[in-house]
Amino acid sequence: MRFSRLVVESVRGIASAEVTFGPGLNVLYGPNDLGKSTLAAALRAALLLPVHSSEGAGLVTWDRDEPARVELTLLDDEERIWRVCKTFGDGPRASAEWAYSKDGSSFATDAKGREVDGKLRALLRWGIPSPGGKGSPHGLPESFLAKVLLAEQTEVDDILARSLAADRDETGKLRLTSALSALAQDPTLKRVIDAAQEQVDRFYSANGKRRAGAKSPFKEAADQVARWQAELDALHTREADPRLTEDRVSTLREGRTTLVLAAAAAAEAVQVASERWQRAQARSVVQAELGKAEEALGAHDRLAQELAEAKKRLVALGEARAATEKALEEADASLAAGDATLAEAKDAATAAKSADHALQREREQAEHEKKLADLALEEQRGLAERTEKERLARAEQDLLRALATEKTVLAELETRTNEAGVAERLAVARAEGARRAEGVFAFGKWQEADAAEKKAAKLVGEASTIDEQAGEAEAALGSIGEARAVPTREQLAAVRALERKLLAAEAALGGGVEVRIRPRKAIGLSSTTDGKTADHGKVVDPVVLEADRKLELRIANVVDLEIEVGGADARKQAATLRARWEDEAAPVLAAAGVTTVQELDARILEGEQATEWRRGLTEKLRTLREQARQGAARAEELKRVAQLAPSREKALEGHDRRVLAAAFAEFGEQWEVPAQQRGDAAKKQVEAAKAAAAEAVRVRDLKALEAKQARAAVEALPPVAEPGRAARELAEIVQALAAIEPKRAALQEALRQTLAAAQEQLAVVEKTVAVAVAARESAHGKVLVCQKARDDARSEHDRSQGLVLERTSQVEKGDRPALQARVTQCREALTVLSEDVGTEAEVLVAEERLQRADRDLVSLTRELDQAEGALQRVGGAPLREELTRVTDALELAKRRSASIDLDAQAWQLLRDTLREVEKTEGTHLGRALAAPVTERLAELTGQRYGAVEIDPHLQTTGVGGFAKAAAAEVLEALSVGTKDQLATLLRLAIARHLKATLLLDDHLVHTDPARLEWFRRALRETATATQVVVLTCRPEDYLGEDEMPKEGETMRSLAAGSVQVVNLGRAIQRQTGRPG
Amino acid sequence: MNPRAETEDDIVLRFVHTADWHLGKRFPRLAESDEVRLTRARVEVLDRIFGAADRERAEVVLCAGDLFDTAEPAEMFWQPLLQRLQKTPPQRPIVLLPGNHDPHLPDSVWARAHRFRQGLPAWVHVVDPPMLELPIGDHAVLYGVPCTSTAGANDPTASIPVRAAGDARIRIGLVHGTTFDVKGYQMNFPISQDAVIERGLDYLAIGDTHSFRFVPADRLVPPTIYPGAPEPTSFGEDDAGNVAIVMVTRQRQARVRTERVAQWTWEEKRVTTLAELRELRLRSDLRGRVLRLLVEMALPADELEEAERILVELKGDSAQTGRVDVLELDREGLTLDSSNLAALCQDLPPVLQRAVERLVEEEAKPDRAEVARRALMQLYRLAKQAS
Repeated sequence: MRFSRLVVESVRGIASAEVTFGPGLNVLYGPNDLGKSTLAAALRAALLLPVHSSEGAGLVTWDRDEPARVELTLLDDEERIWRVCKTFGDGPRASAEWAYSKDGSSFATDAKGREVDGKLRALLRWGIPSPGGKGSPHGLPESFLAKVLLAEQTEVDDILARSLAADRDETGKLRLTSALSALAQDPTLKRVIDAAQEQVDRFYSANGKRRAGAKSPFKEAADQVARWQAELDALHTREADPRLTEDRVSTLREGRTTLVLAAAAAAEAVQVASERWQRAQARSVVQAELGKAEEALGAHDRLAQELAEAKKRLVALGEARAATEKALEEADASLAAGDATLAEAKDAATAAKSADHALQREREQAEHEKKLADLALEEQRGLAERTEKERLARAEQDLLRALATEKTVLAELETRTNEAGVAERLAVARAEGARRAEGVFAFGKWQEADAAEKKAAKLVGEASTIDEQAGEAEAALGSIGEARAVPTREQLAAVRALERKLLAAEAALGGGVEVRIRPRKAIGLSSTTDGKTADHGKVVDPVVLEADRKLELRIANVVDLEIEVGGADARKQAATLRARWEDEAAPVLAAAGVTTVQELDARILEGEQATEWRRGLTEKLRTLREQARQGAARAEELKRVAQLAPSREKALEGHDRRVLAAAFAEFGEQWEVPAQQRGDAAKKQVEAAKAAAAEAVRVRDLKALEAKQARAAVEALPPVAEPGRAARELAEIVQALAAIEPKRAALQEALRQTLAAAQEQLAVVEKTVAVAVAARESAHGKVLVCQKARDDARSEHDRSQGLVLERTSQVEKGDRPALQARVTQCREALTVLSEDVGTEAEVLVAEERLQRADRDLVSLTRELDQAEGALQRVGGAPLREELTRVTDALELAKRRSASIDLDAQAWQLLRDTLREVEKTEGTHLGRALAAPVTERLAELTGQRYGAVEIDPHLQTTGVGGFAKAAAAEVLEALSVGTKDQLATLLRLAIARHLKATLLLDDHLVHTDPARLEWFRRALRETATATQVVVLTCRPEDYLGEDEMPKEGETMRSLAAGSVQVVNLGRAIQRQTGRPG
Repeated sequence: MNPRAETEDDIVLRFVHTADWHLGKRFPRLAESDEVRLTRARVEVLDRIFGAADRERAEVVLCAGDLFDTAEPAEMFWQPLLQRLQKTPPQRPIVLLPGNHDPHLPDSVWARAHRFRQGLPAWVHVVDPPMLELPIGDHAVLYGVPCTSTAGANDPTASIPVRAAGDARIRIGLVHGTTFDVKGYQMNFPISQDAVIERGLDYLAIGDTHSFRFVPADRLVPPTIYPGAPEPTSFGEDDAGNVAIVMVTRQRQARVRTERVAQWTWEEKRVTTLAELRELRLRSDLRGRVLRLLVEMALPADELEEAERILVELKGDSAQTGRVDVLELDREGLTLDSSNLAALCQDLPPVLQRAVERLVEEEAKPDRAEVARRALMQLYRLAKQAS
């Protein structure tokens, strides 16, 4: 707020006056009694005095019947233009108007009457309650700000002594608090609050909402959480919802099932084809068998036929024998007849011829029979050869099959043998591993036992050391003794708080007292100054005694004088606190054996340390004793273990200890359980390996047996080169025939000879006949020959008979029924064997189909594997690892986010707490003003004075700067001029901060020129910030010579309008003959 | 056993066995910049792997699966590998085996139509299903069986033919999976412990486990080896960071040793006292380290401030580089012990002491304790700064 224009009419000695104010420094000058103070009074009345107030009458010119009128135009803090117009007079002539203007020339009434002062006071906010209410002032109201800003010339002491606490309205204090709050704060508190607020602003917007912008810490943390949550969700989806892949896998699995079935069908087809093929082969074999059986049967039948024929031949030979015997008989008869008659010789010759013919026929017949036999033999040989070839082919096939089987079995046997070898080697390796594991465990146990004795000795030594330490600890504990009972920290805090209060109360007593004793005659004097007693003896010269709090004097043992500093309340407070000190604190100090709080603090610390030390020693003692006990027990245990060392060492026999030591070293300190476990595992492995090896050996042996069987089967087959039975039979037949052949040849030879003999006989007979009688001896010889022929024939017959017997025997041996049964059996077997036979080509086709089905199955299985892999790809270890990683990251992000939340809340709590304490305890208005006022006073007085003390209610309570003097005393002792200057500095400071107009009514009249010069600069500097109105009779104190209005000028504006000079001599029209 | 003890003449085959590169692996718990560094480290280690192959004059390099972290890695992960493989010498075959993380699927990086596959030089062999039989000279043969899915219950070594009678070549198996002795992984391509015997192999190269392992532990049979990841992928992989250098003698005895190629060491640490934290700060081995630091302790305000300063020093901030290269800090357990806070605040203005008292009262409410504790610490810190 600042003044713009003042118009005064009929106010005391002023008939009229009009002053226009500039925004800065306004120097209104004029001689004494011109009406400067009346103008100041008019300003106060315009702003503060209700028109109906009785004090209004004081404005009215006493000898005129005209009401006093004051009109003040002013601008509020928002530069709005207001005008207050008050007319002071009796009854209805008194009026007030409050008007508003936009342009400063035309005004609109805003309020009238009592409302005007209400409006004004609301605008001013100077701590003056609205008129009319309870407790509202009558007359010119007073308040701290009214006093400071509009003080009268004589009110300097009032300004310094005035306190905000006396204001009836809070508006002044609030305004000051608002204006000075920045300065009123403790600077440290302010910095802390600012810093806390800055942090809170990072987290929260001005309306307290959590920030959500890009730079918000919440957003950053939430984004991190959202990011990892989304990633985790995606992973869970991959893990939990692989439908597409599952569908594909399902389809492929169905396809595989189809292919498996197809492959099975193909395998079955191969099986069927193989069976048909095998059946075909079996039929072929049976048919071959049948052929052989039939051939054997046929051979048998042929033998029987041959037998029959041989029998027939035997009959023929019998007949031939008989014929030879008959021929002999006839030769005998011919001989007898030759002897008898030639005719009869001729007959005999004829008969011989006849015999010759018979022999010839017989010979031809024998040759014919031989041809037949040869043909039969040839036929039988051909048959035997064919049979042999077929048998050889079958034998070759059988041999090849058997060899193939044997090869397969041998290959398997080799594989099994290898496997068995591997299994056995593995078992051996496992056994070695198990033996070593056992050895390692035994080594560990032996080493444990071996080391146990040393450990036990060491432990005994340690136990001894521990005992010594325990003894030392016990001794130390004993040396500490029981702790002296010391107060607690809480008691210390209470004593300290009481001490602070006591010191504060004593400080509040004031700055001390100085007593000057000027004895008129020698007197005995003793004194007690703040508790320190002194005997001054007989004193003659003046004595000056000073005390901060209390001074007691005993004068001539006649008068006891007690002087205490401070006001009554302060002394009472101090006394109360002293009494409390004696009651509460002193016993505590005494109990602790100290006299000061610092000593008490040290004693408590000492006690705590002793307690802590005692506790530590006790704990150490307990620990040592426990260690000693454990050490002894452990030593006993180790000794027992040590006794086991020899027996355990035996267990190491057969082991390389260096190997065991190296293996044992791998286990480290905690070796026993893992070593035991490894041993157990190794034993299990040995058992498993042995079982596997035994199984492999068993399988190998089985295979070996199979191989033997296969070899036996191969060897059991007849050699391919060996003739078959048919051949043997043929050979036998041929052999038999060969055996017969000489006989037959002999027979033929005999026949030939017989024939020749017969022919010779015939010739002889014919010769005999021819010669007749002379040949009787020859005839006799012929008889002999016949006899021989007869014998040969007999022999031949006998041989033939033997052949018949042999053939009969062969036929009988041939067991035709068995052969017939074999044929029947083969035929039945053929009947049993289905005619549903196949070919090898069919088998090959089926096998090709099976291979194709297998290939398809492998291909689809691979595809299925890949699909299952894809299915597992959404699972499996990598996904689990990723899930773990992302879950960890999410957890961390959540924790960080929660931590940020907590930090934000903590900043908010801190800010709020600081503001709360600031509100209740932090605002010290005096501190706000003391610093600038002190600074300026020091500047003004050349550092003569120290700190100006201003209390929270802006009451000036002292001035520092003198070591031995209390600040209040210094203040009291200030000269009038310095007090004026101090008050002016305070007022300037307040006006500057409030940006309120300051009225200075010649307040620096006691100021020397040097300080006035300083003030001139200070005023101009202050006027740059707020309006200052100076009423003075000495314009030169504030203006340079060239700044004074020129002759005839009422007003002059300087320094670009920041200084306005008004010659009141021209601005004021005085009442005629009236004093100002 | 020291492989170097073998004379040069005894060695008839040298090769490098590596696995589990996990190119493209993410580290979501870490800050983005740290994640990028560790992901990049997975590419950088390739130089050291192939460098080891150069130094050891390896005849072949076997890469036993999980070379990528997924079957379909981004180009930024396969392109550097492709470029690195193209720089390897043509006389040294390199065999890449698909693992369960990067199985051989139709749309995977191993598919013949994939640009990675098409860009591979002729001496780099991918193990395609069902099996790769690769002669190495005339004295050795490699049998590789790939993963075609991320999980499976079949033993991949079952596809490797047993040693034929009279076959005296060095036989090496290359598969990816988990041996039976690892519990809980029966569906992760379980591999018989005795596969090396059953199949007549002289060396079985496996991938999957990220720490180096010799299976079985008693080493009585030809080696079955997990070389482990060349750069650790997580905490707790105690013996990761190596490749296996393998030398096979005339007697077909395989000698194995490890060579460290990792740039990073992963470590977990829990501190419960300020002294431990101070000790950690003084450690000189924090470079090249991924440290998971769990801080669990309640400290008075002044010590808490010190702890905070040490943590900043370890982790770094915009003004300074941290002493630990990658720090995964869990400090939720680091709290204020407010019992002596009032004493610590004695020098503060009374109004702030009053604020401390009020917050201590608030801390006594169970539902507000944590917030109040944090507010107290914030106040203590601000007040110290302000004064």
